[in-house]
Amino acid sequence: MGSQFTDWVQATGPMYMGANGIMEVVWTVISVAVCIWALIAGSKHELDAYNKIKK
Amino acid sequence: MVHFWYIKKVFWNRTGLGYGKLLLLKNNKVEELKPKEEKMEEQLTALIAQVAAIEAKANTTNTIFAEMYYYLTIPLMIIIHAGFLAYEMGASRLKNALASGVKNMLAFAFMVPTFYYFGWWIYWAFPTGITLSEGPNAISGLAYANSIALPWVEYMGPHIGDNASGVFWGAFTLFAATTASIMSGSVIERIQVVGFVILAIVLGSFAWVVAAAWGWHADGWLVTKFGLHDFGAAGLVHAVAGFFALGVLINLGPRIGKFNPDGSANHIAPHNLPFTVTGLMLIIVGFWGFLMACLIVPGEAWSWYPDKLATIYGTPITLSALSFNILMGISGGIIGAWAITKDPFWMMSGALAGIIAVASGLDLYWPPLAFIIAFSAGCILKPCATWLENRGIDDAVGAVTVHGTIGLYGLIMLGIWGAGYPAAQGEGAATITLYGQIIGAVVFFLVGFVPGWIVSKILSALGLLRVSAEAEEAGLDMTKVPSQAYPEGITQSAMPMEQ
Repeated sequence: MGSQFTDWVQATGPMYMGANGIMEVVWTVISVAVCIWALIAGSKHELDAYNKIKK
Repeated sequence: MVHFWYIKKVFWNRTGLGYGKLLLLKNNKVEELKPKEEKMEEQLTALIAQVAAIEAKANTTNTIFAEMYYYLTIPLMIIIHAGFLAYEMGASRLKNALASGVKNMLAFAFMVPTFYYFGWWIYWAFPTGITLSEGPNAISGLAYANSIALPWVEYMGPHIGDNASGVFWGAFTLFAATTASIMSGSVIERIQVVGFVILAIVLGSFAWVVAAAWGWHADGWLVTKFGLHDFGAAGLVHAVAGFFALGVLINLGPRIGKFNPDGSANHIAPHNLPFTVTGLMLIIVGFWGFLMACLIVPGEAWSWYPDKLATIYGTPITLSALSFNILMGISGGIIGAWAITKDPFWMMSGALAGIIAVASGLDLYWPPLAFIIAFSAGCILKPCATWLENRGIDDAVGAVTVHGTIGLYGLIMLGIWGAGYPAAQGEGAATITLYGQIIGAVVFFLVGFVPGWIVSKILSALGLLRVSAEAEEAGLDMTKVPSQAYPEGITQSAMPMEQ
């Protein structure tokens, strides 16, 4: 993604990748989606396990 | 050899007036001899520069100290989670030990990102109520929260000029995870893991955060209007979590076999009581970090004072005050529970109850008074838990009593003994009153119980709350965990008299 810094001594402000752009929002949205996916997949595994033991 | 000669030379300036300078010829090089005042001025300038350099170093040291102070509270609070993990796994029956562990780990894991996404923002946006307006200290409201706590603003990531946001967020995230884990123990052995995670998120990243914004923030309306003082979060963490758990337990129902047809209760014994008791002790170790993180370090731009520690309300406090009263609280709680039960499980729960009972006023209590309050909390612990059990509530670890009932007890105790103290810093700040503490207790009860009951009711309707009866009877480890807690079994110890 490249860096906005060429000299760390002079650096100020945010130092993370993609600072002051749109990427903060993009990564946030993707990470939210990962959490939701994990919950859905986890629930499916759990409900399948309960059904399996019923049989 | 060095040779000196003095020369007086006359210089002419632009106005045409002459002035003399004494020059020193040293080894054929001319050096100017300056008048006394000029020399002093130079020395003063050098001194100012030196003082500025020392001040800059001191500021840097203070900033790094403050950052390190909060940073170290985070691993200390993670010990709370090591404790909850051991406590819940030990309190479960053999067939559910690992499933309880999985549930506990996920509560922590989901709390971190969700508190990042919205929990931290709620804390800064809601202190004045649901209006999202700015409070008297100008550190709250929609605009302020949007500027510092939205998950995509620059302070929510690595930032060269910001040594505070990350460690504050981290400490609060651990508060959130602790709150969610309090509920975790009471629902073991029959709750679905995803349903539980959803409840944990609602509790840890929403319900308690609202309570904290209202009662644990200098702009919080419970503080500014009613003089609520809850330094160590007896009400806004413990009571909220305890009564949230009660709301969930009502909809979740008891474990199979807990109650007989006539309504009498059976004791479902932990499979590893030593592990459970050790877990409780670890929780107590971690609470030193929790309570340490409730302080505001001096000397920073965001500090209350340049020279002394403060509570979150801006009132002065010392770590010595905490040391006196936490230790007195622990011992009072253990002794009180021992006096009534003689049971190690309730004695260690009593230690926790002792801290919680004095948490609201750890900054103000005289240590023997703290001991007495904690002792009384230890005494009432088991009778309160039995009272709840007699009403058909199966709280597997007594969390509703230890955290909920004792949390409110502690909040109200401060209203009785600490009435008249200014609840917060600032001219005209409201004072602590019994009335204000009771208002706080009612609000915290509702902020915990109502969302716990509503969300668990919805999850129950969606089939996401309780495991199937077959899975519960077979054991959750066998049903859904791909590993075994004790693959070689547990050998029963031989009693000497039976040999």
